[in-house]
Amino acid sequence: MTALKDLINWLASPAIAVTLSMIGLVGAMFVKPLWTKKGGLVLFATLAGGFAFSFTDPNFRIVATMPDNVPILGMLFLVGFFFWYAMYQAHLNDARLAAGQPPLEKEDSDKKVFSWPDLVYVELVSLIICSIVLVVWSIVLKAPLEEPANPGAAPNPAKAPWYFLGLQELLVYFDPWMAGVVLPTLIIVGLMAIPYIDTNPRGNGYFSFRERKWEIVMFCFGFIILWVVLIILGTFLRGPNWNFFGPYEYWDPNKLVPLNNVSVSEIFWVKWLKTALPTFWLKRELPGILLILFYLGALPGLLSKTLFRRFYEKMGTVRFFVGVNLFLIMLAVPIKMYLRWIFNLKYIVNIQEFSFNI
Amino acid sequence: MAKAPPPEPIDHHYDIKRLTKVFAITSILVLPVFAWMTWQDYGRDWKAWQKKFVENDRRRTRAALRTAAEKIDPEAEEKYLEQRREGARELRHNRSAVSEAEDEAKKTEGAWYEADQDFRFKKAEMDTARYDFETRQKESPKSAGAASARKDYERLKASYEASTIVEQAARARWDEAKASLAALQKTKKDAEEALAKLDADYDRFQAKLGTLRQSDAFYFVRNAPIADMLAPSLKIQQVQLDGLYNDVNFLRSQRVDRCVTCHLAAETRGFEDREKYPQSVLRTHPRLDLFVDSNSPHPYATFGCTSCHGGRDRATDFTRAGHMPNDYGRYEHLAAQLEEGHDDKGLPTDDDEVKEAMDETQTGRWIKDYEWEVDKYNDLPMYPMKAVEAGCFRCHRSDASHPKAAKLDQGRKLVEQLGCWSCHKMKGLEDLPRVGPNLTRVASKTTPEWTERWLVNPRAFRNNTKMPRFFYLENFEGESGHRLTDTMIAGVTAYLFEKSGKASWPAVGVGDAMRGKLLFENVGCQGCHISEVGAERHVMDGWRQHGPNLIGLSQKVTPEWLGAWLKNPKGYNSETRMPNLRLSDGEIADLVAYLMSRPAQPEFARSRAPKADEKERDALVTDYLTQTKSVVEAKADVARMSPREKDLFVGEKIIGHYGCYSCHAIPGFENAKPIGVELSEWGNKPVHLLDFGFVHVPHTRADWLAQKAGQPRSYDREKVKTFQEKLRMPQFSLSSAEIEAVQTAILGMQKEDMADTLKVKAAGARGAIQAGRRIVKDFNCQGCHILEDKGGQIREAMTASKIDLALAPPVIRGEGAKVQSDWLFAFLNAPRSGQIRPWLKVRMPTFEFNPDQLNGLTSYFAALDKARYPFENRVETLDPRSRAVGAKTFDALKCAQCHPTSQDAFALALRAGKTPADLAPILAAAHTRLRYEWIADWIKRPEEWMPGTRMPTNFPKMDEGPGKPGRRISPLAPALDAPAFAGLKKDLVGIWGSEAEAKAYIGDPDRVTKALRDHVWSLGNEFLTAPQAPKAPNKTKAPAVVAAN
Repeated sequence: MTALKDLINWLASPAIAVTLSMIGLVGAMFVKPLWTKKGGLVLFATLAGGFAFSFTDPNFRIVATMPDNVPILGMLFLVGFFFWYAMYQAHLNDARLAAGQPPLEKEDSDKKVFSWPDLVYVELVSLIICSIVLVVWSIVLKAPLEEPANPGAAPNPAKAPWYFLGLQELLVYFDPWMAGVVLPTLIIVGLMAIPYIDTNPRGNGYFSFRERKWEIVMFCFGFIILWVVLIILGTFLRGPNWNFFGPYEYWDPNKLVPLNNVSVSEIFWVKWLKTALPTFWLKRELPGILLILFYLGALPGLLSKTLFRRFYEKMGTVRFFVGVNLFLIMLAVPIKMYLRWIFNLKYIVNIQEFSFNI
Repeated sequence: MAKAPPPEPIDHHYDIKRLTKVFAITSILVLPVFAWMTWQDYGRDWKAWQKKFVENDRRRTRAALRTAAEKIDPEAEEKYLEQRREGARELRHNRSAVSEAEDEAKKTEGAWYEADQDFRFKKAEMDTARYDFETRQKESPKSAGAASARKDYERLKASYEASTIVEQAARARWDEAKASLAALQKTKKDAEEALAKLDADYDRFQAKLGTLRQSDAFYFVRNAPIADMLAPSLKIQQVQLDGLYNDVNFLRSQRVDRCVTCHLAAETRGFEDREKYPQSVLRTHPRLDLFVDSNSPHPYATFGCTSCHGGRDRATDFTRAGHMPNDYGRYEHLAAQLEEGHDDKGLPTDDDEVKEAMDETQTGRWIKDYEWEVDKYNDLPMYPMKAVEAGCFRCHRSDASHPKAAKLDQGRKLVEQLGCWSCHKMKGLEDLPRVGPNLTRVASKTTPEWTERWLVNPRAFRNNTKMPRFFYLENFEGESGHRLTDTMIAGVTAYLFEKSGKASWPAVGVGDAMRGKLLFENVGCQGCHISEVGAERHVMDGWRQHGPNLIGLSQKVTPEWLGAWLKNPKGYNSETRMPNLRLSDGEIADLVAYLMSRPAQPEFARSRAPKADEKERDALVTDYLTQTKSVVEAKADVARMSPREKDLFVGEKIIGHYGCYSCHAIPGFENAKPIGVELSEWGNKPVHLLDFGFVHVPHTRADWLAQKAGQPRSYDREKVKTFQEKLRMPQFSLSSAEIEAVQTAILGMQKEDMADTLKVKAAGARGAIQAGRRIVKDFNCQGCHILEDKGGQIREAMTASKIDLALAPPVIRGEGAKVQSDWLFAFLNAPRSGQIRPWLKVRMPTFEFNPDQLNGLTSYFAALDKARYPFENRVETLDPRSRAVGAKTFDALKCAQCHPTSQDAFALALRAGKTPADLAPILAAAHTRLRYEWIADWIKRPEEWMPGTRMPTNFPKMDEGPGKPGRRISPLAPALDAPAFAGLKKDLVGIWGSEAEAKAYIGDPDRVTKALRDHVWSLGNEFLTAPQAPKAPNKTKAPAVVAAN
């Protein structure tokens, strides 16, 4: 039992958890049997069983039953359910489309009903149910006012509201101006740009996986891995001092983890060229700056000629470069995370003179 | 154009019937959920407590009502009832006149009401017109508007004045009508008034009972949910506390205490009974003379509850208010046993037994009764009741002691005497005398061998020592830990003796130990010292352990040093508090012989002297050197240094490491800063800043502190630490009661965040008393004297040595009122033996107080008795008749039988075979020592000034029944007729002319005691020997001579 828990603790560490969930998610999307009712039941049973097992562990229980964390437990199941449901519908439609039938939604959209009672009645019932759930929730789970905020005695760990925990997790890998300003802005801008970049009419108004494999995988990667998984990580696996704790580990505030990180300039000058760091910042950071320029400036062009030629031809120049830049920035997040995990890389560009670090 | 109707039948996406069912079910479900919500909001615990309190109050009021009913005199009641009936009959008889008078009264009242209303309206109109006139006049005095405004004003004024007359006339008519009606009703009204007076108490309780009803419909409606917003009887009670704040980090908010929402009984007398009211929430606050009551020094309206008790002021929920049980630590300890199935020693435990024990703890009961839990969001919960006096310390830290808070007082004493304050800065406990001896000349006192073994374990030499143990503690265990410890001890000793000043002391003559023993028992040593092998340490009431336990001195010091020390303690250590007893060389020789013969604790002689270990020493030196040098340089230094140099180096570093210099003066550390964490506001320290290590105690300040005080190094357990990182606090070997006391004091060290007006006043009489108590404490006055009803512990030793307690040092009571301040100053400055009570063998020692201390002590005594200070009237002329009567009465009462009137008279008395037990103070110096007013008062009521005094009460109090103060009478007037007093009678009649007058004089205790006082005042008083003595420039001061007995 201890060995199993140790294994799970190890698997839950950020590098492995993110890798596994990435592989697992993308892989699972292509495993058809999972997206049937039976498959859904299996998925649900696995998730619920995992929780039931974990609840026997006192350390897990402490964290999972914190009133603050209850919504995230709910989110876990809700996101899971809706993801399964979408994939289930998509696979049904894919089968119908393959057989030359119209998608299921077509039948619905042909039919017209009145807003009363079909819409309003359901809304009313939903309203009542939501009221009941919220009232019971607020009675059962106490949410007391805490002591007045004191900068001299911040809570440990100091956590953002649960919906921002994904962004807070990014603070481990990026400076605040990146994790807190640039990336969130790009998320919003990118989401707004989707209709203008993705003009493919297929899949409009109905679920389908086969017709939009690339887009769905991309979206799920961004949403489920880079948002939901990071929230879960931040909620359940980040303890005092923002240290990582396995799900069955005790949140010991005295736990120590070495944080020995290096920057690209250090690797380049000290490790490779065996010399001291140049004093002039531009010279010192040139390798990193060139890397960034290459990644955002040259790579899209290269991709348009090679890997993404098909997209380039389909989308046109402007649409392609905007899209591929957004895509590369999204990808930069896991890339930086992996660089940290594997090479202890702190900054690619580290201009402390201006507090400009990437 | 009308739209086409929908096709029939309407197609639905959902099954509407099923939807209706779902709707029905959810609607039914929502009802109990909303009821639940309402109940959650409405059903507060405090309402239940208020109901219970009202119930108790009602029961009490009913009992009071019954008592009041019993007290009503039935005969009187019947009389007045009869009178009332009689009145009623009268009224019936005069029915028409009465009804006419009633009509008249009604009519005239109506007329007056109308006139009065008219009068008020007119006045308002006139005021408005006047304002209008004033403003217009100011703007343009000559305008037409101003003129017309003036006219308006004058017209309205006239009309107002007319209405005044009308109103007054109407009122007069109404009064007249009322009076004629009252005349008709007089019999009945008088009876009713008398009845009301008779039943006043009963009616009061009856009315109160009405307000305490909890079962009528009105009560339920006003307290019903939602309706209770109007005028509920169950409501939150609060007090706003001006000048007391909650610290919310960036600003302060006023404290608003709501504690009495539940603790309704706290302010009310009559709910003290623990049996009747077992729950403290329904009981009166204890000691209303000190707390809560509006006449106490800490009234509820000013201080509320939380400023003393701590906790969250606004909370009305048991847990949220911050209640803390006494035994949370024990509860958690048991909970851990339950989980692990075994106790600390690894023995299996019975789950049921552990559970039962848990339920029996206060914590367990609170969890069961009040769903108590630790409120982790509350930084400053209440003090647990066992440490409740911590609340006193928050404000009263500047006081010298806390006579009304026993546990805090003990904690404070421990903190002061064990020297906690020396290493840990504590505001209010600074500048106290050093707790450890001065080591600047230690080499001339003792030997390195003794010092090393003492450092290993001070308690092995002297079980009750206040010196804590620094070495051989748990974080230096094992072979290498012990080798390192020995190296440190050897280094410290080497350093101390190397740096010590050298001195040699003259030889002491051969003394007699038996004589020395007698001297030791008689001269007063035992007020501060014991000499007992294996004595336990007593800090509280441990006056006789003020100085060290005098055992094993032959192992520790040389006779020469001891002799020199006894002769002049300040000669060896200028800052010692050991006073000079003015011993002769012969006495010193005897005392040295006796003290050197006292036994020692056997284990010390057997203990091993530590030896430095070369390897450990080199490692230690290297460790310290590398703090400033590179490893290579440090190694080179180590290779170069001689073993002696290394020892000295280690010694200096270790003394610095453990902060020895905080308690002891050590050469080379004159300006070193103490090593401990400042504790001035430790009571506010956030719990998460405390290192609990791997020790399992609940994470509260109190529990952390208890563990730290009891086992100071335990937070190093299972930790891998370097030498520098290891904890340094020494082991004080505190008992669990002492730990609780220290806990109380340290927890009370909080920010004093309040308005200045609420702070403890350090000036005036209160300040003088505190400053005096500080000196009394530091110099252990209470070791010998009973002062403020405490101390005098030397009496225990005297009883053990079978010495008559009549020879004990005097009880100090009313000293400020009794003696002249300048006499007291001179006496304390240079006490001489044999002045007042020459028969005493115990000596008032010479403390060599500085002027500040002398002034402090004299003003302290004066302040204690609210006596005049520092200047008083000099009395230099006396009424000759009063003096003469005094002299006669003095003789008649045979005062001189006990009180020698001069030193010669005393010598005579001794020769006549009188023993000290028969004697009272010599009166020759009374006029230079005593206060004039006091002498008469003392003669009048000695038993009140000093209970148990041997001075007879010549003017007894009359017994005038319970509760009455009792007048004093003089039995001398009736006694004057007795044959024994014939001489006195003759003399007095001679002075007064008539017997009646003489009797009146001598029968008045005030006058006769004043006469006696005047006589005593004249004894040995040179001014008064000549009736018209010229005024002397000043009284001769007592010469500052240090004389032996």
